[in-house]
Amino acid sequence: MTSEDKIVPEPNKDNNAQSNDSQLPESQGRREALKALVTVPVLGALAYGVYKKQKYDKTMHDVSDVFKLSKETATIPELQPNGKQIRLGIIGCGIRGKQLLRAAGFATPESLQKLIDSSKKDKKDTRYQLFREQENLNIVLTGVCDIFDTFAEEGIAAGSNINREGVGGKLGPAPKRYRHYQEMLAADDIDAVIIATPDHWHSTMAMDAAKAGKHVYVEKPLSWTVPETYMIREVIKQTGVVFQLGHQGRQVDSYHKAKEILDKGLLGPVTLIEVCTNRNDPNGAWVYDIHPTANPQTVDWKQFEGDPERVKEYMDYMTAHNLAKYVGPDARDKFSLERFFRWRCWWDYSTGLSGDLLTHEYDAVNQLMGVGIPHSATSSGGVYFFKDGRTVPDVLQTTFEFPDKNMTMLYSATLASNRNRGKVIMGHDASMEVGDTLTVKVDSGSTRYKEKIEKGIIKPDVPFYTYVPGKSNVDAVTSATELYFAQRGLLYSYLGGKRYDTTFLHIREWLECIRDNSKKTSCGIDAAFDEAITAHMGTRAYLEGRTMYWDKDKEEIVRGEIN
Amino acid sequence: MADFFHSIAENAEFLAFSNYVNIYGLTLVGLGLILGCFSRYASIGGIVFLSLYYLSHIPYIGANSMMPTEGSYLWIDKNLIEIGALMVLIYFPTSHIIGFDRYISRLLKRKTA
Repeated sequence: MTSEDKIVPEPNKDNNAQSNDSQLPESQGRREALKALVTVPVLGALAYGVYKKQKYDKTMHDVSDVFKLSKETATIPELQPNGKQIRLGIIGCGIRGKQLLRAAGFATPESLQKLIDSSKKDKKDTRYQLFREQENLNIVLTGVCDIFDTFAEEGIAAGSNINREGVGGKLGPAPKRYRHYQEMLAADDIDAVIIATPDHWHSTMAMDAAKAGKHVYVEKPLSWTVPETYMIREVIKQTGVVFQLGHQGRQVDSYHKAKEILDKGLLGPVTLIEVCTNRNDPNGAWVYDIHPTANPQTVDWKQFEGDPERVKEYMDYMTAHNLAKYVGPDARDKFSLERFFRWRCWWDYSTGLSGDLLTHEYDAVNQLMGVGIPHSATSSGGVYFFKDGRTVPDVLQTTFEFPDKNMTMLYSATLASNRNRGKVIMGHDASMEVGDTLTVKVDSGSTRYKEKIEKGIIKPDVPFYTYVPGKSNVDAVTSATELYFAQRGLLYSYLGGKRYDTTFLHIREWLECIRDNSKKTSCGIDAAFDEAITAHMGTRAYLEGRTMYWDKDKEEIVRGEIN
Repeated sequence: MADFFHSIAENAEFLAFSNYVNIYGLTLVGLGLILGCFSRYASIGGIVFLSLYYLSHIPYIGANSMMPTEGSYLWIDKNLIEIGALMVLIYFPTSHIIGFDRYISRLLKRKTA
C-alpha cells in the first residue's frame, strides 16, 4: 500500500473515476480545479522576480561604455611544419641550466624518477605526466659544457634521456662534454647555445657564441659590467644571430590582457609603479647547497674566475670610484666552494638583487608599457639580515624616474620577509595588480569612472576586474622560492586553456625564430640592452650612493653630483 | 568519494553534462514541487541532488569551508535538513490536496482500475 492510497481523498470508491467527475456538482468541480491550480500564480511571481533581478543585475554591471576588453585569449601558435632539427649546446648546467634543459625537454632520469615516485604517492601530482606530454621541440642536445664534473654529467644524462623516462629507461646518444666553452663554440654539430652561467660570464660567452655563428639564449641579466653591455649589443646586431634574453615573463598570458588594459587607457594616467621582491628562505637569498662532490679536482676554478678583460673592466670601475670594500673579500684566484655555488652573494660574479630579480620586474613593466631606460636611478639598502660575508645587499630600494612619461617606478626588495606585495600599476582612474593573475581596482577619486561610482555601479577599492587564466591552484609548487616565481607570473602561462611552463614557451619561441628568420624573439637585444642598463644604473646608484642619470643622446650613464 | 567528485570536475565533457543535468534537473524538481505535479518523483529527485551536494561537502571536523556558509556546522547542514523535508513530503504528499497531483493521481487510478 502506497502513501497515495492512504491519503488521496476519493469521494466515491464504488464508482469509476469518469462517472465520479460527471456526477460532481458544478461548484465542486470549480473548487477541485482551484485546488489543483492554486500554486500556479507562485510561478508567475517567481518569473517576474527573476526578470526584475536580471534587469537590475544588467544595469549594475553595465560598464561597457567605460571599460571594454576583447574576449581574446592568447593561444600557442603551431610549430612550423617541416622545421629543421636544431642541435643545441648548453653552457652551465647548474640549478638554472638544468631547469632550462628540462623546459627544453631534457631531464635526468633521477629527477624524473623523483617525479614518478611522488606521482604514485599523490595522484594530484601531475608533474611527470605534464613533462611527458610536453611538446617535442625537434631538438637534440649535442653538447654540454660545465666546469664542475657533476653538473656536466647531469647535463649529459639529461641530454641522453630522450624518451623522458625514469631510472633504467632507454637512453639515446650522449651529448659530448666540453670542458671549455670555447671548444664547444668551435664545434660544427651545434647550431645554438643556451647560456646559464654566473652573471660575470653572460655577455662574454654570448658574444663569443654569436661570433662563432651560434644562436644565443642567455639567462638574465644581459651583462655584468657596463662596457660589455654596449659591446654585446653591437656584436649581436652585426652577426645577426637569433638572440633571446631569458626573461620568460614575456610569455605570460595575463600580461597580454594587462597590456590591453594599459593601451586602452583604462587605468588613466599612470604615475607610479611599485614592483617588489619578497623572499624569506636561504634558497631565496642565494644560499644554495654546496655539492659534496665539489673540490679543486672536480671544479675548474681558473675558468670560473672569469674573462680577464671583463675582470679588468670590473676592477677598473671599482677602484676608480673608491668601491674596494665591495670587491672580494676573498682573492679571486682563491678556490672557494661558497663562492662557487653561492656566487650571487658577491659582486665579484653577481649583479645582486638589481640584476637577478629587479630585472624580471623591470622587463615586465618594459614589456607592458615600453618605458625604455629610465632618466635616473637612486638606490639604498644594505646587508641587513644575511650577514654571511656577502657583499651584495639583501635589502634594496631603487627609484627610477621617467619624467617624459610623468612616472616613477619603485623597486623595493627584502630577502627576509615573505609578505606578499604585488606588481602594482597605479593610475588616476584605477590601479592594477599584475602577476599570474590580474586585478583591477577602480580608484575612488577617478574621473573616468566618476559617474558609475556615484550611481553605485562601480564600487571603488573592491576588485573590479580580475583575470585568472586557467586553474588557480598551482599544484606543482614545491618550495617557497617556486611559489614566489609562480605568483610573479614567472612559472606558468595558460594558453588556449592549457598550462605551460613559461620557460618552455620562451625557449620554444627562440627555436621557432631560428627556424624562421622573419620572426622576432620577444626579448631581443634592444629590450635586453634596456634591461641591463637599467639594472646597472640601480647597482651603481647603490654602490656609489648617488643618483645615476641616463644621457639619452650619448647613451651614457652619467653620475649625479653630490652636493 | 572525493575522487568521484574530482573525476567529474576534471572531465570536461562530463562536467558539461553534469552542469546540464544540474540546471534542468533542479528546474524540473522545483517546478514539480511548486505545482504539486509528480511531486513524489520531484521529491526523490531533489533528495538525490541534495545527497550529492551533501556528500561533496560533508560538514565534518576539520573540513575547510569550501563554500561560504552562514553557520558552523557539524554533520547536519541545510542540505540534510532539506533532504528530511522532502522525505516528509513523500510520506505526506500535500500535492494530492493542493496541486496537479490531485488530478494526476485520479487519472492514474482510472487506468489501473
